[in-house]
Amino acid sequence: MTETLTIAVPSKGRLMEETSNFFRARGLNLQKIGHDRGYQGEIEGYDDVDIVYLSASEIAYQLKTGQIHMGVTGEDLVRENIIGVDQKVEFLKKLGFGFADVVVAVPDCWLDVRTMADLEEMAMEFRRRHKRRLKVATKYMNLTRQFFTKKAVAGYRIVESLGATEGTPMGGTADLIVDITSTGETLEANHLRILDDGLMLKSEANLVASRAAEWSGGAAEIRLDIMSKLNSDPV
Amino acid sequence: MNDMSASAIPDLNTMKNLEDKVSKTFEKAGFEHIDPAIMQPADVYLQQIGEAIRGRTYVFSDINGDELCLRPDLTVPAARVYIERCEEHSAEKARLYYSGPTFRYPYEEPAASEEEGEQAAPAHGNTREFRQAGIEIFGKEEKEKAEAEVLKLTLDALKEVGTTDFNIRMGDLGLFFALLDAIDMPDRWRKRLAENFWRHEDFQNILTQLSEPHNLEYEKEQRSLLKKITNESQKEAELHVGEYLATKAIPLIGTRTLEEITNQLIIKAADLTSEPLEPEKIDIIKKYLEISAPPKAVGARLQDLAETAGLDLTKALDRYQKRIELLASVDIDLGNAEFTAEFGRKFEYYTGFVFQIEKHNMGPEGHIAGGGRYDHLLHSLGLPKNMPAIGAAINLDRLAALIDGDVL
Repeated sequence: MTETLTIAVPSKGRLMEETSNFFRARGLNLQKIGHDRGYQGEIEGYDDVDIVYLSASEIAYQLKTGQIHMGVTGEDLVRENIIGVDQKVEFLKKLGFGFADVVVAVPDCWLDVRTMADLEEMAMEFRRRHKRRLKVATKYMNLTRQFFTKKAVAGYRIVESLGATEGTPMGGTADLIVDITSTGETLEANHLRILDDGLMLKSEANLVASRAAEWSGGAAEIRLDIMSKLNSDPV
Repeated sequence: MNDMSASAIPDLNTMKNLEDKVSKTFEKAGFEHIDPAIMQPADVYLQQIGEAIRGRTYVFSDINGDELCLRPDLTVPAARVYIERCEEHSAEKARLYYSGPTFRYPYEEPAASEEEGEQAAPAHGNTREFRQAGIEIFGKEEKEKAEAEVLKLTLDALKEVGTTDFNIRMGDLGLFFALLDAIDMPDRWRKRLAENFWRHEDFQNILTQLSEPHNLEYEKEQRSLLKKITNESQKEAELHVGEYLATKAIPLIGTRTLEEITNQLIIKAADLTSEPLEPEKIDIIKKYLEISAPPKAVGARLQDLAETAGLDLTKALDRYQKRIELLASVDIDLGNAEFTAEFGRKFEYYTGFVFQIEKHNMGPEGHIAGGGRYDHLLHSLGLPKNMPAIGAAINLDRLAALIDGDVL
């Protein structure tokens, strides 16, 4: 088997398009192999590079296990899904799209809660009165736990939410949320407000390398070649 | 996953021998053997310790979606055994011992890395699974006596396996709470300081906040709302808050009522107009937390501190002295012991006396046993009333590693 470098890119939507544009502007043409709806691809002129189209969270997972050498995915997903992230992967390049802030947001009517410290203070009172901890709806269970620990907030429980997270406080499934926002419109529409110090992560699409992948053979050299292209000015 | 060792215990004979001797020591002292379940409902830990537990514990779901965990310690499982017993018949006093595996993640999460002591992984062997042997005394007993007994018995068990060369670190969270009670300040501040005691950074921040004018960073409109509700009755204040929300077209959503929100705002409004906490008072708290001295010298140091500050700590000091005398009376050598006022801040459920036994000159790596008083745990785990509790546990894997080639 000849040595190849495997790069995973998002398989659908804006992320897929913008990734493709980013690569193309730097002289790397991504194209699908076979059926247009398939998930295999290549870079035009590079026989030794395999492109695989995966969901953004699957890319984070395969970076961790080393099944792929490199991948394009959101920093939020990489940090959420890989514990001990700096030992497992290397962030190579911020790509300038896919912007999303991971934030802590509470009902706007909580006039008494403006900061994480306010939240903890209120959480103790809340627990005394309701006999339970505050419920935080999120899909970012690890990031939330790490951030709340850092901010010394302990009086909460996580409720895993895989969609429509912003609606959970109004619906009563949760008391507050941790979610991504780009314009803040959805938060506002659901009467939620970001805490003053509630910005957990400013995320965007990143090119990430796996430290667990097999880099001996030709992969490391091909990577240098690809990186020199990607680091050049867009045409 | 190929870094997982195949055996739970590297040297089975040493471990059996250790476990045997330690258990016999507990048994002879009249403790009853219990065998708490290895799998525990995750909910108990999540309610008690919070989400942080997920950062170090194996939490998983069964096919119903119910969350379970592999026990990360044996204190909570032992407490559950006791509570279950109390539900069946009103057995109030219990002296229990156990020995068995506990499970923790070998990784450390960045944000949780400040933990040490009991949370640290064992020195070698299977780092996901390690054995603990320990005792718990539940029920009303003379507190200082029970504390001396638990420390003594832990030391006896260590001696039984041939370890004698250790230091004892001690602390007393009860002393700190007594100090807070004695210092004149608004109750809400006392509560904040007490509840944040084990969070080092936060505690410092709160002290700093309280020492400054409470010029909180509110926008103009909110500041004027806070002014409006200062010294108002709850009802009046609620009207103002309701009106504020209405003008801003902010709907009241979620579980919290207008009353709850107003209550918290009233506390903030009170802070806005309160005089800051005097520097002398902050100084006493800081000075107390700096104390690190041989246990026998601590009484006099505290007495000095109390007198200079004009505080009455008589009760707490009497209890402290009594404990020291009791410890001496059961032949515990306090010559290699150190009292540190800060010690015990890291373990959320302790409420009073705390101790840790370390192999001489080994630092945290040499930590082989620890324990303390936790009088609120049983109630918060579901016992209808508060019930005194004190216990200690020996990390058998750590002990085996230290003894290896040393004594046995």
